[in-house]
Amino acid sequence: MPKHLLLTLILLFIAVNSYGEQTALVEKKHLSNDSARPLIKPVNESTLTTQSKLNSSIPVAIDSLASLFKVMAEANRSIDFHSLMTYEANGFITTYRLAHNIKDNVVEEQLIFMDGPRRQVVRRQKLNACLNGETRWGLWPTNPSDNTLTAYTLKSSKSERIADREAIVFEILPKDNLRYAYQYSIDKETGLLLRAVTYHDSVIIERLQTVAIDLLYADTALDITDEPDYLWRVPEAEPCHTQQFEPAWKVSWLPEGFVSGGNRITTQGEQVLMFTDGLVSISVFIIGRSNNKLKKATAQHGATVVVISSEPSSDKSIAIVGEVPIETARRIAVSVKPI
Amino acid sequence: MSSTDQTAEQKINESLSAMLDGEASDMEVRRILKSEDAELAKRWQRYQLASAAIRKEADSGFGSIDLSAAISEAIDNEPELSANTVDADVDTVKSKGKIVNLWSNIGRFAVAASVAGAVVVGVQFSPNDTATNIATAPETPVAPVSSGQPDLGVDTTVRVVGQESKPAQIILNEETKKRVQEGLEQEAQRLIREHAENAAQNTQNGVTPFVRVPDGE
Repeated sequence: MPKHLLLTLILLFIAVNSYGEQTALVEKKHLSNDSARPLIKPVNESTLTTQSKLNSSIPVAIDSLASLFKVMAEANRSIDFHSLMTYEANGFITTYRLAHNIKDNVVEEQLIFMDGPRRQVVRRQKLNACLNGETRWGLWPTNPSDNTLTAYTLKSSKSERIADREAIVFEILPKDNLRYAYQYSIDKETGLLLRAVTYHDSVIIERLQTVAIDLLYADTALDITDEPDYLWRVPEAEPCHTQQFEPAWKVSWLPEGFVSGGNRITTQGEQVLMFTDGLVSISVFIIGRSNNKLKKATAQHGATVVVISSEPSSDKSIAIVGEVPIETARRIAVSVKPI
Repeated sequence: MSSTDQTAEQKINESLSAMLDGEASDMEVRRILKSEDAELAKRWQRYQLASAAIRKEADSGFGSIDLSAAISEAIDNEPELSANTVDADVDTVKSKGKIVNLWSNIGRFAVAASVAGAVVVGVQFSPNDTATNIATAPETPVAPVSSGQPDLGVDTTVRVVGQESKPAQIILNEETKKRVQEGLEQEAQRLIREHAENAAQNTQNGVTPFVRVPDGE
């Protein structure tokens, strides 16, 4: 069958099957993996030695935050991997196992919490892009618009060895003091994020670090728990439609560079307005107060802050949740008003 | 940084350290608590994180939950206390000993109480509702206030100590404290979980938003 005919058929099939969406065809990368240790399957030495080295480094030059995120997004939608990670916040370290697999144009991520109460997160996302180019940020065929990343500057500093891999370290510095600074280290070969450190005024408040990564034996899923109590299935995101309702509330103040990421309604019926500056996200919850007791509070866990306050002109509470300093969240909270 | 800034910062540092030692004057406590100073807020937050880590509170998944606003709100809703607001020169947390313990164990509640009314000399979580451990023991007979307030719960005793310009005390028992804290932790955890789904869609950070959700137990 001629190549173009086959392609036409595929496109037709796609057009029939996904109205308003465009399937991003994904070709999995074949990677050398001479340094990674398999986490799941036993080591097979003969496989290791016969594996060819195809890619030596990321093909594109990273000179802006948008290009960095493009490389990371590309890695996330094309590379199977299993990894072990540690997350350090508030003086504690927790450990996670992650499986990231792409099959039939669907990315499936499984995150198993290795400490504390048993928990497992499963996230499946079809790799669809909107035709109008407004695909939501975190979806892997993403379309990062440069104007959402204006609040930071990017500096490439050095190379470093992380999880027995060669990594390039980037400093992401905010232009104001309303948000945190970051250090992202990405794998030189694949573009996968190996370490993310969050700073508030030069103090490390959070660190997510890959300690081991397996690219060779990774195209298998981990067991998904059959106990629903421990399982958090993240609803699949719809890439083209982000507005679930016309908001009756407005946020009058946000740090420069934040744009709407849509809005939705929680299972408890609360309105949530979402915002992003391309790097972090802020959720503004409008909560009915009827069954609440002591509502005003501030909580912090790593980079994530929760500020709950009351809105004086109504019977609602406002909750700001996001990866911003407490002062920023408070300022946003008092700017939330009914329209 | 100018020398004026340095002096102001030094002053605040001194106030903060005095407050942590339970030696701050009421004026100082107010300056700290009402300050809009972001730097100070951060420092207070860092202190709370550190002390929470020491107490291993992060078992709950949260290193820091600041209940001061919640307690302040509850106290504001106490009609008896509101009616007894006193002058600024109340001897707030001057004495050492027990009060120091209060700061280290339940600092946030004490802070809240101080913020709320200027009538409060100390806050204690007492399983048997006695005021005997409070360092600034009442000199005048204690006038118990009915605790039918839903905000503080039926198991909370609020006492106004003394009359008019005399300071007052609030006693929250262990159960109330636990209930308030757990309720807020649960709520915060639920919100962070909802937020994680938003963040996963609106940022480019892979599984990071899910890793950030505390375990909530």
